[in-house]
Amino acid sequence: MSAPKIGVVMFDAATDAPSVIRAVDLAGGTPVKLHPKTTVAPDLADLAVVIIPGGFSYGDYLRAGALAATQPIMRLVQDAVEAKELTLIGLGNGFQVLTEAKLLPGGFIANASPGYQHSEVDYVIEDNSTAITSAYEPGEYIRLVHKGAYAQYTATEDELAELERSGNVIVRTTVSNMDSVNNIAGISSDNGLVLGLMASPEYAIEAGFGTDHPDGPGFGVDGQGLFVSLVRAARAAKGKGVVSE
Amino acid sequence: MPTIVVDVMPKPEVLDPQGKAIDARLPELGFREFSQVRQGKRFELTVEGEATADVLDRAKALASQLLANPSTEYIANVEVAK
Amino acid sequence: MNKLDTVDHAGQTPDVEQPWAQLGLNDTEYQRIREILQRRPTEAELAMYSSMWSEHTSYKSSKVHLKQFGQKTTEKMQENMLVGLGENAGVVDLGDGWAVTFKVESHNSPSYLEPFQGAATGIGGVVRDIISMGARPVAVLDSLRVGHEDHPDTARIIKGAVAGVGHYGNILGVPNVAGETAFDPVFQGNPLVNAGAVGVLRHENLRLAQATGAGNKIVLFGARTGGDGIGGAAMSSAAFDDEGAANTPVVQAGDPLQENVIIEATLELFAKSLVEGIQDLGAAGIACATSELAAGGDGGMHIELTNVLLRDAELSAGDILMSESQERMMAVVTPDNTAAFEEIMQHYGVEYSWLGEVNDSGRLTIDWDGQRIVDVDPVTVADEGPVYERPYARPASQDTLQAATFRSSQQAEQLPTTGEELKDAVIELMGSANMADRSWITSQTDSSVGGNTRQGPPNDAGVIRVDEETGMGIGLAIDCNSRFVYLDPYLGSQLAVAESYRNVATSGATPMGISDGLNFGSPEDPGVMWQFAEATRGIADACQELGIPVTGGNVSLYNQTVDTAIHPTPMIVTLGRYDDVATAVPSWLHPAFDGSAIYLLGETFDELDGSQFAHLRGHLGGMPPAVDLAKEYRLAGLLSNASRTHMLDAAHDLSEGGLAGALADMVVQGGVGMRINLDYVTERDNIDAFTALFSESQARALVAVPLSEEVRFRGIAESRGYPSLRIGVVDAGSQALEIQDLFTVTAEELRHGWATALPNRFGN
Repeated sequence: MSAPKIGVVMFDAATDAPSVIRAVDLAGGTPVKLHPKTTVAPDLADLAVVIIPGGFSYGDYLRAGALAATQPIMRLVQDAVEAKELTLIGLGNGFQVLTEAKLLPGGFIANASPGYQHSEVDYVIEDNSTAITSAYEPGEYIRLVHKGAYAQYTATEDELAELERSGNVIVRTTVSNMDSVNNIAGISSDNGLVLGLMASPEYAIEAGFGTDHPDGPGFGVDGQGLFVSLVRAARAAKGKGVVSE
Repeated sequence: MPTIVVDVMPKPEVLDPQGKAIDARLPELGFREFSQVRQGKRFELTVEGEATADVLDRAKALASQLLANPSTEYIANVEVAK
Repeated sequence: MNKLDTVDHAGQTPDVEQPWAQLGLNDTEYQRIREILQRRPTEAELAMYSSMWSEHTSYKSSKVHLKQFGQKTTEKMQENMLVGLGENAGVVDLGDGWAVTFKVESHNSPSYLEPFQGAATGIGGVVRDIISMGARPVAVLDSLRVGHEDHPDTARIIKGAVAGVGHYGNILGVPNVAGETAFDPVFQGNPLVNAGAVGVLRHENLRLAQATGAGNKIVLFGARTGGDGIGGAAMSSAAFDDEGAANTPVVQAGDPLQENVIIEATLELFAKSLVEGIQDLGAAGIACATSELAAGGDGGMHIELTNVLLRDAELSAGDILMSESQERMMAVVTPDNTAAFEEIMQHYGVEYSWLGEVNDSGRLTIDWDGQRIVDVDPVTVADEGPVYERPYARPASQDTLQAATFRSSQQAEQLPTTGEELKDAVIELMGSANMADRSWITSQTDSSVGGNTRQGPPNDAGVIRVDEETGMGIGLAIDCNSRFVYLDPYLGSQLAVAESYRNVATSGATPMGISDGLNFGSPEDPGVMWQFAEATRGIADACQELGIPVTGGNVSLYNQTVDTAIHPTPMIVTLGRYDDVATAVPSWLHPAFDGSAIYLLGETFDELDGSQFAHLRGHLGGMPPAVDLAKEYRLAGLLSNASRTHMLDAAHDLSEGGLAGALADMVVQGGVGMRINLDYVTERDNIDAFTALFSESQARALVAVPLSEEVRFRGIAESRGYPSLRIGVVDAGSQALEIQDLFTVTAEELRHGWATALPNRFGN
């Protein structure tokens, strides 16, 4: 089987990018680094899936994700999404970038207990029909690393009602320790082409370097499914983008 | 109820990385009119009762005691919001 | 300063009063500068000499004692050293073309003034030391000493320092995998913030800080130069006086985003072989970098100082030379490579400016707008600073201190003996600030970033994979029990080495070398100087006996408020190697280890002086536990061998809190229970249950051995003749620590005080 190309946007201080690249590679994809100053559409021509990895893009200065959202490549990926040629995925800080760029509704505020927090959190898959959840079962529990200082998801009442009504909440936390509204951890755009997840699945992909697991410390690899899903989506798209339905 | 606004800014001689990072985005976004950005903080204090001169003094005391860190920041402004 | 103080002007005006005292120089030192130059120094030269000859930069009081680290390193110990003492950081060979470099640095006085920025720039500075060796930073660590947990100022210090360490390291994207924090009133006015970093590199990328090759260009890149920390090096070299902050320098503020970009740009320069030498700018900024690069190379360099990019246009030449603005690097580039260099800087969006070039004049000359303001022999600035043989003497009070043993104290009149009393003592121990859960601290730093973290907190050592193909990697731990060092600086320092070494071995790695962060009071106090002399002798002797070299280190003196000095604190980082980090052993019990046997390795003596238990009772006196380095060496061999051959589920070293501390920690971390019979220990070692639980005898560890491996494990313990007792089993279902016939304490009962001690005091 071919190893489909998956774009990874290399914003300054996107600290999770190296691990996302490793995860794509281990899941059978071919990671392609995308420079944030890219303004030429051909760079995206043979990409069906682009990931905005987590970390601290531009130091999270101003607001988490805000400075990354103004980078030239965002214009480009937005155009490709609008042309239904690209699935765009934001993980952790990447999700914050997508809300700052208004590609997904809502936004992020400081954790209920202020300050950066690094922990392991159990999530539940609500919808396994998306490009990042197809390898999971609906209702499946997965344990991933959760980190950040501005990781609390929030949205207006209207946005929230619309998210829930349209079934666009795809992943939730099982405990409300992050205090995100409605325990929302992952959402999708209506057409399924823009997906955000406030978690770091790239740190649960190799046994011994993952999250806690009944088999032993660090043996949890629940993040693999996310990368398997998106490689599968890229392969299905054959370079022409993935459109749900 | 009246509100007192406290503005806290990084001291001019202290590096302001946030302002610097925002600054770096300006030319690309077409804002060439501005040569520098510095990022501060604004606090809004809701006053119980009237915003008298005494209350304003208390706000100033709070600002220097808690809201600003004197080694890196200064209080740029304390005033009753209009 | 209106008129520029040029070299010519200085020659014509020999009698001008100069502020040498404010700059931290003494009269003799100032006179020596005049002799060297055969005239008075210019303002810029005075700034340069004063910052380079400060204690912080020149090691003038410590040098004579530090020499023995090199002298006591045998050829055998040198075997794996690619670069030894004296460079930014030592470099250790890991095999297969890999090497590792590591260092710990103090940032004590800036962290007292502004804990967040002080700690953040501590991480930033030590990481730049690592990248200037051509290495990619793969881990950071930190060691904090703060005042009493309930003193109001302690919250300010620890909250700021922890957040600062996290902020900087997290944005750099370097995992924080090891560290320790201790509370003690002696650190109230002088907290210690030591930051460490570890980097890995391929042998071919190794570069040293030297400017060779006449005609090569000098370039400054990274952040612009502002007023940060002017006078900082001089301040770190003076005790805080009653007036406190009057003369304080501008707080150095860090920009981790800038450094994150500099790391990538710098490593690309190395990978493409575009730099001849490189140096980070730390204490004494450009003054330090230019003089050290020139002194380390062919000896000549010319700089045009007006080329330095400034954040503040008002800075004087002396200010620019001394500024400690963060996130700056200086490099030496051949003329052929300047275009390629500029291309990389532009790609990463890093500012740079060409300052001058290397020459064979033997002089470091600096011009300001074409006028000569510095003309010195760089060796006299960088290497030939004053060296002091400070008088030292064992304080008379030391005898009284050592005579006041815990057993002879009032506090020892009422010791726990019944099961109920012992249980309460264990709960109290685990709920005390020094033993309690560290997650309030460790959750503020990113331990997973990079994806190579095999073990992070709360394990005895952090474990990082270096080679993804083979699994080869490193383990590291930082330790120091300051109370032991205070009771006996020689033995206490050996214990610090032993504990750090043991922690690395307990996690399954083979110790390769240490780096030290020596934090002491004023060298002008003969008693403090005696502590320093004893401590350095202890470390050097311990390393010689253990067969691991001191690869580098850092000295911080004047940690003193008026006449109260801190407890002497030589923090020891030990670095170990794994063939494959898959064999690393955690230090807590996971449910998967149910049914494994618990063995206690080593013997327990009546050693409570300086212990955590004595500290809880408010006692400090007597002699620290006996040191037996030959035994430590054998224990480490046993532990590395057993873990490499997959005989161990878990292993925990015994240090603060003794056996009680280790047992309770193993249980409370994962809520997995154990059934322990203490009789084996009390009978063999002829001690009571209290002593068995709370003594802090050395060369001990607890291991959990799966039943299938017990025969093999007993075999190697016996063949190595290491004292070993099977004292119990893991009982995951019980979720309690049961000490048979004495007491049962549930993980929940332990958690109550243990998990809340720090968050209840400091928030969240």
